[in-house]
Amino acid sequence: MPKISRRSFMRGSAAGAGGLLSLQYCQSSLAEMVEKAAQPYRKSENLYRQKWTWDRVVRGTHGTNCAGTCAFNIYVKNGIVWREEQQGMYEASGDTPDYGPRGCQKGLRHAKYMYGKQRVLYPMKRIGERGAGKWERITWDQATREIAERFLHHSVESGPSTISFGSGTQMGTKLASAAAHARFCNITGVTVPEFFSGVGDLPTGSYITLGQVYTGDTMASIYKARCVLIWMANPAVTRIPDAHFFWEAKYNGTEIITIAPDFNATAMHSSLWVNPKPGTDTALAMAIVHVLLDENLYDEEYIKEQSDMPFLVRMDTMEMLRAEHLNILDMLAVKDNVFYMWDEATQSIVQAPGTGMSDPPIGRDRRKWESIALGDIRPALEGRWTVDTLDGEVEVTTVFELLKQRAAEHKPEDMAKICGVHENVIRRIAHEVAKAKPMMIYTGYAATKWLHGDILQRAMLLILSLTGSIGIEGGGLQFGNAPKARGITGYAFAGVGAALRIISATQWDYEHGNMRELNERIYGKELAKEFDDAYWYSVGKKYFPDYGKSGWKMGIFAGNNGANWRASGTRWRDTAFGQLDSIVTLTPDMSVTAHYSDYVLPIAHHYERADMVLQARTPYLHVLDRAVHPLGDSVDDFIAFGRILKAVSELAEEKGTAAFQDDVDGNTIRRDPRRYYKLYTMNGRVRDTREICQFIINTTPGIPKMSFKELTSKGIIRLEGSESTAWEDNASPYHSEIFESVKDKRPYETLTGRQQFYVDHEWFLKYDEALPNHKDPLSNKGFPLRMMMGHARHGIHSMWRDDPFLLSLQRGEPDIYINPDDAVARDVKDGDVVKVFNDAGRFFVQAHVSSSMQPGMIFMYHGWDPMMFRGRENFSSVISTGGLIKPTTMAGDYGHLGHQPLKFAPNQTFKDFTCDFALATVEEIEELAA
Amino acid sequence: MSEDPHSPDKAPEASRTEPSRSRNSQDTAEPRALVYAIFSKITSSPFDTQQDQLEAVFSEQSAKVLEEVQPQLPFDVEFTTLGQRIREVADRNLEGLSREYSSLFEVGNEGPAAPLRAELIRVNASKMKEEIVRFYDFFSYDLKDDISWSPDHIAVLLEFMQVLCMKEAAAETDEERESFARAQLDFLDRHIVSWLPITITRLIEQKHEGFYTHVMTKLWEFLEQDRIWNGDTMPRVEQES
Repeated sequence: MPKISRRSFMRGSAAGAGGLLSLQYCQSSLAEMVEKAAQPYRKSENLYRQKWTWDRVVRGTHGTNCAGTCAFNIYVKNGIVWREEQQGMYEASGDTPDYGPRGCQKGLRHAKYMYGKQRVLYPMKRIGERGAGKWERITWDQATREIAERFLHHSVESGPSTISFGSGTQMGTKLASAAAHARFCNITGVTVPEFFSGVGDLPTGSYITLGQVYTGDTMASIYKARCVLIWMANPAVTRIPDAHFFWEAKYNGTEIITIAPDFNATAMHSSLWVNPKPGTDTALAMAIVHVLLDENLYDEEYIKEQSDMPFLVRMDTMEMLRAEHLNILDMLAVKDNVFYMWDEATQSIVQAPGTGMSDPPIGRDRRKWESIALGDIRPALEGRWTVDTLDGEVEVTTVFELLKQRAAEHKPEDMAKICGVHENVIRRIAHEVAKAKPMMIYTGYAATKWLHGDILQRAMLLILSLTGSIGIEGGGLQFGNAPKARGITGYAFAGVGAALRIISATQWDYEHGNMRELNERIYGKELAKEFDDAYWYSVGKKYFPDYGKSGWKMGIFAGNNGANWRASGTRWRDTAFGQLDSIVTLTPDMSVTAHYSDYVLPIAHHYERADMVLQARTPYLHVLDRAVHPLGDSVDDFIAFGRILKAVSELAEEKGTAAFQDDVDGNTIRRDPRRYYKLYTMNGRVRDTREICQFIINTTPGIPKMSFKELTSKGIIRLEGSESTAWEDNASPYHSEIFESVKDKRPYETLTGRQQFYVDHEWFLKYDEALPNHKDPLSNKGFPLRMMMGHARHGIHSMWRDDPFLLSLQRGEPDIYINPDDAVARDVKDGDVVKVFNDAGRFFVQAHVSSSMQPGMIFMYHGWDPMMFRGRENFSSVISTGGLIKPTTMAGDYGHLGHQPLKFAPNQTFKDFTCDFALATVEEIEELAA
Repeated sequence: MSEDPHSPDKAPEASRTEPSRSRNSQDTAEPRALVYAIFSKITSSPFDTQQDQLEAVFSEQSAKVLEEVQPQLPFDVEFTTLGQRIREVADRNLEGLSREYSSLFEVGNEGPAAPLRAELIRVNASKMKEEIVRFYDFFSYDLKDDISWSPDHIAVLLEFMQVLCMKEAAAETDEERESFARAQLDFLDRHIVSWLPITITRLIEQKHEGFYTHVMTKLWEFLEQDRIWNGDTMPRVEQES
């Protein structure tokens, strides 16, 4: 063995350098390193003669909001993730193609992306002006101490409701992570703006009609459909691991029809592509409804039993006939939920089965006791009758009759002029959907982002209902599903009770972002007043809470890039976000939200944590096992929030902060900051996310019971109740209420207990929306182009959007798709930098001239962070819709319609605006560069 | 079918020629190791260094060692000003040093202004990182868990160079010495000098005139000289047809 030479220099002057010579990064000491035998090295080729082996292969996935969830093997050597590979052991559901292998280019880039320059590795504190980009690294101790000071101050002085907690899908889609967030919020009483409606994703139309927001099944259900309308969705781009089901179904004889204004990647694979003008889809849908009704192409038995179409409506007030209209005692009892049909068997009115039970206080859930089965009743769909009421004789008819009248206002030849789709094509679609059973509409979140997106969804559901396709395998509105959150809420509330403060982000933004002023400026004083009056009427009537009393002092954003996607862009940053006294962002990657924060805390990425993901598109639970140590100083968010609460509790002890009372929705909650940390960790019993995962496994129905360790060895596990491609089995973890209504005749969770297409709330009548009805989208006066957006192929929201390799597969920077004629008219060529503008703002972007766009529209894939744009302004700058809070979505005092977070709340509008573009001038580009 | 040029029995014979300068590992390797060690520690993050070690690095003693080692090196590099800068830092609060380091090298909106990780600069970063790990494995240089994710950090790369130098110094045969010397030259060429100028350029572009710009400039001066000297003292292997 070689012996270290003991030269005089090292013994002499460098004797004091002993410390300097010690090795800082090596596990071995210098002496050990010198002693170690080494192979002879001649040239770098020698290095490659040694076989490359893996230290371990770990099961993982990406807990992000693609809703896909793909099982990967993660390959680790020397504490580094080198690559990932798709796991391929998925099975099929019955005779459908199987679910695997699953994965896309984004997931396959993560091993590289996680080491990228965007990664937040250390706690950072702002040292310049907000947004100036000047940071210093600080220790976790310093960060949590300083954050705790502010947190405690605001909690005690202004109340915990003044602290806003934005939980984003980056972390919230991981179950243990979401549970930790929920427990943190539940214990501390911070305000949680719910971003389901905040990002305009809330399927309001679905909730109005079905009483459910979760109507989706596994992707294999597509294979069971005989006709699929892909409507406002682009699954070839957004559902890469699952899009094969569409094409396999097509080769199996299913008609695949894509309805999209642009010739997108899905359209090119479809049997038929239909391109309505942007924002006119309801005209198309109602024209299809017209054909179905006009040509008697509907499933009569189905709609009589499952829908409100046979229900009677008073012609004098246009209200549905109720028990309180007929009998003085019922009037005094306010029996507004007993409805009637005309029974052809007895030629008399008869109470509709399944109506009349109370709204669901505990133990009286009518779904458990009632049935909508018709029995001997033979409800009439058409006719007019006279009924004795407390107001005297009143003429009544059916919802179905009114629907026919409404449909008659949407003749294909008339709607063709609005939507630009030829009447013959409309009829062809109607005939295709009528003859196909089951029939499916696969739709995306673009549908819900229009001001009147709720009406479009109601019209889609009308098509499905008329064809008898809701609640059967291979049919229905495929919009998404979510697990019954029992494991997560169980963990959040364990030992402390439920004291979570969830609010509507849209409503908060409206009140604090001075959105009435924006509405006045963009859409005119009349609309602004109309909306504002409705808003305050709703708040005054206590349909919805009033968030105006207390502002927010502090914002905590956890995996949430809220400053990116707000529907009034830079304006929101100035009027709301920028007004916060303290902003803390917890994130694995830098973003515009982090950029404007005071503190940024580093959070472990997908392969650096133990967690699980449950997404309804496959019948599997997926595991994230920790493959490597979290990079730098990052930790998972369970630990991060634990550190914050530990600092809060210690500080509260030091200061002698007493417990205080906190009012949450009328309930008085005692909050004691000194106990926060103990409560968070259940007195130290919960030490890491593995234990939270185990809690969730043990308490969530439908997840096979096993240890988390066993799950990490398997990677994925098939869920219970997943024999069908649809979530129709109550034993599964997912919502199956609609199937139960169809199969077991249980009432829907709507006021009428039926698929409810007629809404006789006074506002719906006032706005002529009692039944679905096409309404033109709003525009910015003087700006001719409608800007459309959609999820991107190369990113999941803002995640991976800045990955250099993925950028190299695109144009390397944000681009906007433009029709060639529109480009020529503005002297713009492909690749030019253009200014997109309207009266709300502007942004600069590369022109991508493409004949896939129809004239009059421009298109931009979303998710590009403002940090990637010149001047740090992205598309949000021209989205002027932040104040378009639709009055009917703040209705209340009407059965299932009223404030219900994550179900019925004002949905944020993102689509109702127009803009223009022009070639950017040299001066403008220079100005931005400066 | 073409012949495989890498086939052992087809490989061309190699012959050696004398280096242009004498290497004399006995005298040169240890002083060079010491310089690598000091630069490794100076370029380490103050946040990731123990306080006592930090105080040892930024001390009068450390500056003195640097000045004393200068004449022991087989090439000319001037360390007096660096020693002086180290003394100045030692007299100041080290907190300021941490702030300067972190804002330059660790945090930023779009990554650090002047990355010290090769991965953030080099193209084909993964391939590069793989070769670094292969180097480490080849010489049994085993990183601690908390830094294993970043084998390409300049401080780690320099520490590895320190180890190679020390192994050269301790080697008992010419063959061993040549092995470690060749590894130094290759590693220096392929994994340090290939990207470090970009970081230094970024520092200069920012007109940053603080301590670390001086450190990096001086480091580059040393590396350039060491690389030339390494090349000049390496027995050349010439391919014979």
